[in-house]
Amino acid sequence: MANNQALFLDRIRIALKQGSRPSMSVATDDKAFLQSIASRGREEQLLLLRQLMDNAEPLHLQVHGCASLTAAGECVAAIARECKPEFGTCREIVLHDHPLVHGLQLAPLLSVQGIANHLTRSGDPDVRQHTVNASIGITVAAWAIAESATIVQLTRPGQPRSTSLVPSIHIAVMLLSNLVATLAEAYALLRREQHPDSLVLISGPSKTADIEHTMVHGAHGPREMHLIVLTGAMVEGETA
Amino acid sequence: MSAEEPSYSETARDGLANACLQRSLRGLQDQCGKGALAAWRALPDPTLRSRVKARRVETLAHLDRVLEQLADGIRARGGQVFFAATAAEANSYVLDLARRRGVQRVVKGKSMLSAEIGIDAAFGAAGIEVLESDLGEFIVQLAGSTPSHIIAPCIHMDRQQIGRLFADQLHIPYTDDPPTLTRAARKVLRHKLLTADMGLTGCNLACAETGQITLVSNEGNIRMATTMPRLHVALMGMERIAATLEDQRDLLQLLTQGAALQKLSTYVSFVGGPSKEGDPDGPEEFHLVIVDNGRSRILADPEFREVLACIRCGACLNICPVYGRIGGHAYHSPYSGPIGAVVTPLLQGINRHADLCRGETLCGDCREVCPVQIDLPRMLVALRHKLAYGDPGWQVRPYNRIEALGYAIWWRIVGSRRFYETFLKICRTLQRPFTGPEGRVGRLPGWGGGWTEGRDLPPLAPMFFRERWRQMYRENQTERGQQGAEERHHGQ
Repeated sequence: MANNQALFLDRIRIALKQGSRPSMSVATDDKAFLQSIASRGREEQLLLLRQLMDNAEPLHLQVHGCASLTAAGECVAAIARECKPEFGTCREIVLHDHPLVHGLQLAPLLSVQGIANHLTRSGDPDVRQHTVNASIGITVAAWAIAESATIVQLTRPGQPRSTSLVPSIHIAVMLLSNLVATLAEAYALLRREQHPDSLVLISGPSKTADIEHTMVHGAHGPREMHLIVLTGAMVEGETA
Repeated sequence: MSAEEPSYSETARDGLANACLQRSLRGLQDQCGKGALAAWRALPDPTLRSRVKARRVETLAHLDRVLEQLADGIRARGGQVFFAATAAEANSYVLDLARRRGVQRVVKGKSMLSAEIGIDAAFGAAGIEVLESDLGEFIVQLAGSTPSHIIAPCIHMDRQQIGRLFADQLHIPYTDDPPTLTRAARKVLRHKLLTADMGLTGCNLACAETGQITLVSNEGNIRMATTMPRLHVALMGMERIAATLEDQRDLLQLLTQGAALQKLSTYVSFVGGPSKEGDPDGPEEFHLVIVDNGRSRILADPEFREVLACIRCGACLNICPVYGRIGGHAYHSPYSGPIGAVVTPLLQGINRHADLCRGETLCGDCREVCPVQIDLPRMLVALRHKLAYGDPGWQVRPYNRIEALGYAIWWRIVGSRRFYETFLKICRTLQRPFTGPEGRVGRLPGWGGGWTEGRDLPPLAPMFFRERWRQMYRENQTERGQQGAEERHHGQ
């Protein structure tokens, strides 16, 4: 197989008809981006949130600013109350195994409604089945990008990819301080994290316009998406 | 193109007669094509496209190095990389893998390369079920047809046709309501996506620096195909690579803008390897198949290398006046529109696809709308030149010797005033029997018939400009002399 690669690359070298070439110039502005993220005050972050909300609207991404974890928990419970199961009859929710999600204290709020909830614990063989059964998936977004209303979802132990994909409704939770302005800023953060193996940028619910250009939400992924941004200064301290 | 396949003109005629296609194409071009042009005009940085283009060309000049870096990166993440020189090599690698792993069902996320190498037939012959998961491609597959647009595959079908198709094939009550039809397909495909053994995708852009491929989709089918089955195989044309994350970012944003006027598509997945220890989901194996299949030959020709800068956004389809009338099927290739008219002949034979470059108008709109400013009209002309005179390097035979002779004679005629005027005078006499009562030439005989098949030609004037000029000049010479004297008088 290595031989295959050598032949393949040789063919390219012959096609390029070049001996020594100067290597490609590489310029990064990471430092500047990281600096501007770090220097952003609360007021500026709230402005970014406003921008995110404006950009989210045409994408059918519903953004909720919540001052406290309790308020965020109630916001989730309200969405769960309205949700009717799309595939099957069970009312279940899967949640990322993450301190921020634990902080929402959802178990009592959901059990009142008769909804089972399952954490996506690393090593749990039932995660897939729970995810397929669930009508709501709750994830923690690493960052969100204001200019395009996009969340960055990293795959990590306890934070599988399917939670934001397979259930009918996806709710992402994040801290206001993790809001960045542009894709370029988010990429600077990715490089700082040394390029995680698997990640996805998500800008709203799944959609298609394949039939006569008519927009329909919920093609293969979630038909509904919410982003809960925790804005309270206290929250940051609680989960830090 | 096999012998029994209808010709370019026949399929084009079908496209023109398809009222539904005409309506959809007009809508698409009004919205997306013009929208992309407006988006480029509104770019905050007007030099962005030319900078990205220069970077893309620079990357192509370093293709061996960036591919090596990518392969090393993917392997470091636990993925496997296979370099396939030909379609047959790529197919046999994937098929062999499927057999060894006992794969029974494959779900595909839109990949034009998979159509280029004909992998569906290979799976079919091995008794493995292959299912398209993109809604448009799924519809097209159910109908036993082929996609007619890079990003809107079933643009040639209307909701009533799709409704009847679903009633027949999916056994649901007839409806022509797009949301209901989408939900029906969602249900069928969800089951298939959750039970497939292998996900087969393309690759929108690989990134050498990070050792990953990136995949864009709005529906989420690509994420399903790369997350739920135990195997993920990605097919990548060898030119679809960015050197750095910055390059990937610029190209990604131009791609989603050019394709559908989106700042970003709904999902942009970064995939570099199988799932890791502790990851509760994701595939057990990840294989990247990097395919040449004729691309290194294009790379070697400075005249055509530029076409490898293409990122397959489909913007040129959304603006092209020819594609906008005849639709995608006439191109007889997974790559239609202006980009198809250049890349299909280069990949599959210039003589075999001779009609494609001859069918385009050279209006230049595709160059204007291209996010990376590829000069497609220049390459269309270069292809025509090869067809006219032959080219041993590309194994091109002169397309039509009689036509070449005709043009050689024409060159002699227009080269001499005397020959040309004599020729016109003969034609003026010959056209009389073919000129209709409304004074138009409606039907020419023989090979001239092609000119009048779809339109009436204005007849040659009874008196040519030069004849009239000579006559009037003689009549007016004396009068003009007097007038000139008067004007001089007024000026004083």
